[in-house]
Amino acid sequence: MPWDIAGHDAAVRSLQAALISGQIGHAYMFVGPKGIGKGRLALQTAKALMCELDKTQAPCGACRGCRRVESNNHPDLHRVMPEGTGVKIDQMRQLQDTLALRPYEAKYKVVIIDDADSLTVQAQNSMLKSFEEPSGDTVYILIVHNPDALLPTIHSRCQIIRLQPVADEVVAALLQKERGMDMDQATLLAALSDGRPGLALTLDAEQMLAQRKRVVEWCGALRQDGLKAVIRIGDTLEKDADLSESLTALSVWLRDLWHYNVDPHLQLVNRDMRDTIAQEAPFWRSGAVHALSAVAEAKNQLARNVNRRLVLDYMLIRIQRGLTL
Amino acid sequence: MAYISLYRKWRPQTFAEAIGQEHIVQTLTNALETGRVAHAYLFSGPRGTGKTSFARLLAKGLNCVHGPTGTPCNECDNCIRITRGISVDVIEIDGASNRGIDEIRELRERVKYAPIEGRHKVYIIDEVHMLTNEAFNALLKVLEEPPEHVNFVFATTEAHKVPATILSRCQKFDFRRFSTAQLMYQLEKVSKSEGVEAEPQALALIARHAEGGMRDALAILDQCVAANGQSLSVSGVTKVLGVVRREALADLAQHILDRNLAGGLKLIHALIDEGVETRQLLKDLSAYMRDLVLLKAAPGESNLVAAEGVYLEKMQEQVRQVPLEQLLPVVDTLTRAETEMRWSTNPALAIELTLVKTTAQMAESKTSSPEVDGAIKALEQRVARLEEILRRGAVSQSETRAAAPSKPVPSTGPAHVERSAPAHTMPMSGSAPPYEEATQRQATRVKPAQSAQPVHSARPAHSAQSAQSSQSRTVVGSAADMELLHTIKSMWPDLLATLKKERYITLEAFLRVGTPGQVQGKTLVVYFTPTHRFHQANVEDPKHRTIIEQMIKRLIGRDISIATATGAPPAQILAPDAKAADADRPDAATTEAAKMDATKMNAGPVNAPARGLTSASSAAQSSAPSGKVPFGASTEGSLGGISDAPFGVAEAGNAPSSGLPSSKKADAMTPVLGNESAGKPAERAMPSTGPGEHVGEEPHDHVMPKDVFDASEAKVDTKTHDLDMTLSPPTADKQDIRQSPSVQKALHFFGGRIVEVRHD
Repeated sequence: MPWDIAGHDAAVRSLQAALISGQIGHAYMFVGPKGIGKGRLALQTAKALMCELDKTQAPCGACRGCRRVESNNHPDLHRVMPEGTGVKIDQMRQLQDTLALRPYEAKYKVVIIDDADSLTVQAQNSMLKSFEEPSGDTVYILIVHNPDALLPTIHSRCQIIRLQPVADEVVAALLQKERGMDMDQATLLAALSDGRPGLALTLDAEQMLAQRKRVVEWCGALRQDGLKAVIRIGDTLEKDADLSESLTALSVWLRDLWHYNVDPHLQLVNRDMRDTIAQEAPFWRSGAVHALSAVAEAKNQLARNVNRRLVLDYMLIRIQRGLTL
Repeated sequence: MAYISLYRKWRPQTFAEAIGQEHIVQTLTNALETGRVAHAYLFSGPRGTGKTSFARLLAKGLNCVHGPTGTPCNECDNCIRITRGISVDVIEIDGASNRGIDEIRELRERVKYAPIEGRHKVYIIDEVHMLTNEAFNALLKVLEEPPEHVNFVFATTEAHKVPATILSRCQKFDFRRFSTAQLMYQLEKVSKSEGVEAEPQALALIARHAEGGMRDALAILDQCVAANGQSLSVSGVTKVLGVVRREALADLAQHILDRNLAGGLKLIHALIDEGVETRQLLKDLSAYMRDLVLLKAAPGESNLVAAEGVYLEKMQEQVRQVPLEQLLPVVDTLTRAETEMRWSTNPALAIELTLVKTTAQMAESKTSSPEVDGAIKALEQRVARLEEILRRGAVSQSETRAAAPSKPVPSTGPAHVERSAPAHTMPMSGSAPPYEEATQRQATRVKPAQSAQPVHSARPAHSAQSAQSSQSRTVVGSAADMELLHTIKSMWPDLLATLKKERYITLEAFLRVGTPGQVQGKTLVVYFTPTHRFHQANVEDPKHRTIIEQMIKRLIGRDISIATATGAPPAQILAPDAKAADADRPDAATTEAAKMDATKMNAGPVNAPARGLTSASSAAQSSAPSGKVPFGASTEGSLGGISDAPFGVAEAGNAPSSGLPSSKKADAMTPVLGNESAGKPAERAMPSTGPGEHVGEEPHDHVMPKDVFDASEAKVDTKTHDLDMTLSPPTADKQDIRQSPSVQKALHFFGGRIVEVRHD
């Protein structure tokens, strides 16, 4: 029976196999980028563990257990979220106290730690013993974006399940079902979401399209108007409330241009704009890679609170310069 | 009871079961058998190497009813209770969650009570590195002299975080990572007992991936079994681990070697679609490239490489396609990308850009290497040719000289032709010493000046041009020059900083764009790119130069004069025999005898007569004051050497001031070689030559026109220099020379803007 989740067949299969054989690990680490479905998978795993209809190996979604997990109400489901900047050692201590008790009604106690990579070093260390040999029937699920942020001693105690980008068709189908989008829009959003259904669901199609239109216009202007365009775009970007999204859109577009130049048969994100890309690409033969590095670096610097305007201007000038090489 | 993971189930229960760590097994069993168990142990080592397991084993050994024994029975109540983790006498504390002083105080309270079941109370504090400082200090006393029945075992992955006062109270054991073979052995054992049919390669993959941690290995096995059931294949493990298939990796590497960007991108996309994690992909790729480097660097040691059979063959084939110098930067880029990717928000893009970089690196080195090789070959050929010319020339010169010393030598052959090509004048300006000093310098170096001309003249025009176009120009320098250059380069930032500090801010700005490129004797040549002419001109301003020179003197305590040149600085290489020459240098030591020797030796074969040279020598011998020679000769254009002279003396005529700047610009890019460096090899040819007659006065301060020079002609210069020595009257009286009007005139022309060359 399928789990109620978009994609991740391999992960689901391996969890299912563990459920069937009863070889459920005591600590799992779900690793993948934001919005890919780690939380969803964790919730589904919790349901499968707590489902009252036994032997199904897939959560029925209808029983009391499943419904209470879905609504975050199950007494044996413990969710830990970061407090402030991270998950603190006190939260872990509290958790350990409650986990010392037997489960109320289910067979397992399930602990889902959100953003587990934000566990402080002390908190991670304090969990080492519990992760290694948990008391009885506890299953830990760590939701991790950046596994490198966790100690190697944590890694070696967990079964690591890596979630991969979901196929575009699956995401598109999900969007059609959940948001009632038409096929074209769903396909485009799926492509733009980079295989992350969670992200696709939150994306606003109109806004994305407007965003992209702006980006395409900028790239054209940088090519034609040179430094004048730099100043104009700098003005716009500086005031942009969602700068990081704009920069992502920019790099997606540049990446398409670049890919088209390398080999026109490579799969593009903005498939619907193939004609425009084919027109623009020749001008970006050497500039696209420079531009991409410039954008990536700018993102990095913005994350470190470097003066916004300076970073943007420098980035745009580099893009523009790259074009004239 | 819930499922117990393999790594818990398969913890060793006796010392005999434990794999690896033989050094620790031996020590602990001996201690148990002989009753010399220490009261405190510290077990340290990477994750999954057996620290906690050994702590429990030790507790068992102490408390087994048959003990203390190195072979606990695992049957008595005590052993069973310890195995199950419910023994009241074995207190396992999680140091990371009970890390405060209060917890340790509580522990101290309880320590004094006698054990209940066994003979010893064993306190196992795991993750002890997380204890707070206060907690550690609270432990010190009880750790030093605990009650007789108490043993402490600390386990940690980070022993460096444990205070020295704790360390000195413990016996410390370092646990080692398991080798892949040891991991394989255990994995085979476990999978057999668990009824898992596993391909050996699959287990090998797990073992490699575990990176020396037994817990990692068994956890992965666990996960693979959970995902794939009771039969384990390589592909099953590959999927669980998200590692890249070996073939795909080989293909990707091939794409990089072939500089096939499109193919590489396609493959990366396919792999990502397949479910490979980008981080893992990059990690595996850099491991693969590293293996290629290993194979290349140590072809015989293929067991260092994590591949065998067809894969190894494939790698060996790939290795044959590239030189090591091409692989290294690629590995470098990949390793850097690995660390950068940790912060990357878009790993797919990051790996794509990395691919671009690596393929570009391949392209770069691949295209450039034949060119460089070619250039080197061409240079070699030219050197050979020049040597040949030289040899022939030498013979004819000696012959002709014997017959008619004052006539130009006709038999100079090709050298002759090359020499007569128009000179590329080296823009070079020396410091402007006071006239008096300049006079003195000039006077003292009259002979060298004369002798230097053939050096200039020996430069074939085409070589200068090729040197100009070539990126990798080199000049030869003596060891002392190189050393001084190095000193100057290392103090250069200080110099700039000092200038700035002392309010010469504009000067600092001018100087900053220059590069200290070369040292000859006491002159430093600062190179400016052609776009920085303005800066160069300003640095050359005598006022400014004096400031800089003073500053340098303050910083390194030596008198250095500054000259400037346009173009990229050449690489200064050590003259092949500069070392010996240097040994000779400690000037004053040279004796009259040595001089004599030198003269004698030089009187032998006279080499490479340049047209300019011969006329020079003839001029000299026709009793003209030697100082005059360069100038007089140059006006006739027969003295190739002087037309090469930096300041275009020939055309400068009576207007030295106007002549200087124009010639300065004349040939910005030409590399410079000091006569100094040319002179050095000459001395080698006559080992005992010393500073000669210049000793007393200014042994190191002979000023000499600077010449454009190409490294390939070093030999020629050497020889011609020998010749100079011979031609100049060995007993030339410097006083006379200095006073000669032509020298005065010459000095006026030079205006002191001459690069000094040591000619000792």
